Amino acid sequence: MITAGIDVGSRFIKAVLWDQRRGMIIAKDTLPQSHDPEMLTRQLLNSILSRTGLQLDQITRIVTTGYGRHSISFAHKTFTEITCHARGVWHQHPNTRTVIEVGGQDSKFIRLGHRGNVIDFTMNDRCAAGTGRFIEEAASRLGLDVDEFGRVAMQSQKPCQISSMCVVFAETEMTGLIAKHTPIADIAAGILNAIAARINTLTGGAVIPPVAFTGGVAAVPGMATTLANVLKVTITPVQDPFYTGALGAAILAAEEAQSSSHNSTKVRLPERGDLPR
Amino acid sequence: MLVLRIPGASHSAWEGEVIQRFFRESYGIPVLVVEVPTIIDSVEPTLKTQLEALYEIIQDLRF
Repeated sequence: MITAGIDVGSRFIKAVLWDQRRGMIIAKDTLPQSHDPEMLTRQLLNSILSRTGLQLDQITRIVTTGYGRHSISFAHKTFTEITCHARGVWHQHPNTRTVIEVGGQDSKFIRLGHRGNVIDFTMNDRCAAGTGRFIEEAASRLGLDVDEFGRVAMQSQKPCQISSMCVVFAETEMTGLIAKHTPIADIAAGILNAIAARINTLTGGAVIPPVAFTGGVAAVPGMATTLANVLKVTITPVQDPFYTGALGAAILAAEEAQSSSHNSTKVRLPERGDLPR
Repeated sequence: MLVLRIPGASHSAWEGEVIQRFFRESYGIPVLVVEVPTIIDSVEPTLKTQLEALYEIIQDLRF
């Protein structure tokens, strides 16, 4: 049985094709988010299907997640990214008790039960503080891409204190630090520390190990180490954290199909003319 | 448990968190604290995600 998990995120759309029988990912890909998530998702799915040689009717079920999950008309079901990231992490690390997920637009602290079920969560809901957007803005201010930003931060000997949680005010602080010829590495490290501190406030001091860190920001060099230092815990690396939500969605799709009478449903992607206007 | 806070209507900014911690720690009940109505429209998607996630937790507990 082949299923698809699609994470319609705020910054990128990620898709995973999952082979339930073999228990493995058979294809994955991503596209930057734009104004038409349905069209992009269709394009992304067609692209990975053509690469794998699979036909659309070989996909048993499609589950979408992420902030744009409800905008994909051809999905069989949606799950929140909280449930999907938990499932994706649990597949890789079945002892995990805490999942920290930091995406482009928000961050989440998720507690798992003994069977990998979500028992509780906290989510930032106000602004870009402690999110990927915060790093993107800071990196852009320093003329770096996000990966370079992380690598530069890892060279810091004396991270700056960035006290502002707000992206706009943090940028003002950065401008002041740049004017004082503060090394870029120290500024970047200060930003990573500020993000980790913000994530720490979500936990309420109740981090139960083992802890997994996932979402796009988990792939930023140095971020996991910084977070581990601030939380004072060991963090389990998640393979391909960018795709964890899509992976969880694909696995949930397979589990749903197995327990549902709808498992013979055939998928039909809408054409442009089918889309609501 | 869903704790609804009305922005500006309480003298204690932390009562939601206190209730949340008490029920989480004492009874292991999932607790969501949200402010309604939302102060700005842009937080509505996040609010919906949180409510849906709470529903998914409850569904998982039931089945």
